[in-house]
Amino acid sequence: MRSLAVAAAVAAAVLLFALAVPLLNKAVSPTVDVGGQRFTLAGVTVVLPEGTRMRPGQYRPESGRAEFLVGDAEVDIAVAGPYGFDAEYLAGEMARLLEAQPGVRLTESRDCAADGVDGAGRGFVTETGAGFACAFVHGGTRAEVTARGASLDAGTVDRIDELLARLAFGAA
Amino acid sequence: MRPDPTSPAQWTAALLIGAAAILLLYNTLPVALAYPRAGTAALVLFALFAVPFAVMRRRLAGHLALPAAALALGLVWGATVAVMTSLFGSRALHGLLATAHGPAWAERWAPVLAAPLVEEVVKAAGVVLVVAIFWGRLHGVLDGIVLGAFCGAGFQIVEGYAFAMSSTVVNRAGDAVAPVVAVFLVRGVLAGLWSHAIFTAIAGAGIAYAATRRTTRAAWVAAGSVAGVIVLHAVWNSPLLRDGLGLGSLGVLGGIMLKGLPAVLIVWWLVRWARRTEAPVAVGPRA
Repeated sequence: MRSLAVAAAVAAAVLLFALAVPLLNKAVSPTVDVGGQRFTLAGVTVVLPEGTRMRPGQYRPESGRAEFLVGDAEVDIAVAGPYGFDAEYLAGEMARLLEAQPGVRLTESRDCAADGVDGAGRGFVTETGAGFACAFVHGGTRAEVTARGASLDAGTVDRIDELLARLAFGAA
Repeated sequence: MRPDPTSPAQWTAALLIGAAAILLLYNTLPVALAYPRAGTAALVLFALFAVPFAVMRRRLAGHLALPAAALALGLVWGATVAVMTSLFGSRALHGLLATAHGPAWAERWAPVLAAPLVEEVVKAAGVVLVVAIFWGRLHGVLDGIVLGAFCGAGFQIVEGYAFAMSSTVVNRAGDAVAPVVAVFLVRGVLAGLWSHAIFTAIAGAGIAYAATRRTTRAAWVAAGSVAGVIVLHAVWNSPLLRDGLGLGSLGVLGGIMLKGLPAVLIVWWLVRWARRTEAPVAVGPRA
């Protein structure tokens, strides 16, 4: 009886934090429309295209990280510095990590362009969808953008490219 | 420990550890494969955390009744269930705080308000579960201190490994060992002593006190010990004294000492108190 009571209490404590709190967070932290808003990430700013959405907890300005929703696609942005390599090398590093993910297969290279800064990118497919990664380096600051979704249709890709084009280095 | 198919506590431990281990591997293995040199270095360096606690167990052996299997189970719980639950729970609490107070506020205060609560409660839950599985083998508070320390060390090994690998990935400078060594020096050497192992040792002392005394007052002592380490952990994670009061690296080091030392002193006092008041364990066969 004691073993059952302890097991139930321990399982409840674990499930509370592993399941209940995350579900509560999803329930009370709906995505909000952030289209047209300006976000600053460690020296890089972006004014988001209309229709972009975000959960409040997914913007970490001090860490230089943010995650947005463009249509059904997740777009992660990570900014950091100083960085001593170029965009091609950074794209290779991003590809190295993507390639090691289960079910991810790299595809062709792709062009990526931020506001006045050309980047390097790679496409990839997963077991449930597709995506692409773009790397930018400017003035010792690097920005990584990873987009993924169940179906990256042409319209969604255009909107993500529009978001990329609004990434401005050194404009904070 | 003999497997007992009728023990709910054993089933709970097996199922939760199994599930958490799969999730842990799913989250860490791709990075380890992408950065094999850094991964190996991180694993070796942070596994060294277990050494001082193995020495501690040997030195206190005359006062300990819990078998090695109990400590190993505590270590594995800390390394798997506690780590993964804390990952999900802390992230979700961060999201709730961001919704309530804004992203910038949450980024600053979630490590103070969310992480200590989730991490200390789940590690303490592991200690309680191991005590329940090895019910009757607990001799006194020292058993709880060592069990708690092993559970915390398990957490610390995986957390340190994850931080080191994250630093390697964030550096984006290839499969380099330097970021791993830097993280080990900061988190392992500089901040390693007064971290998870010490916090959970205090909670373990309280839980063992309650399990051996079995009074209402002792139960409150156990609850108080867990609440106490949540506060100590929150102070440790807080931005308080992080800038070293503008006194440079010596000031930062002083700040670390000032924030971390109380927990170490509490454990030191608890070990002295327990060795003085608890009779040595009669020598017998150990599992």
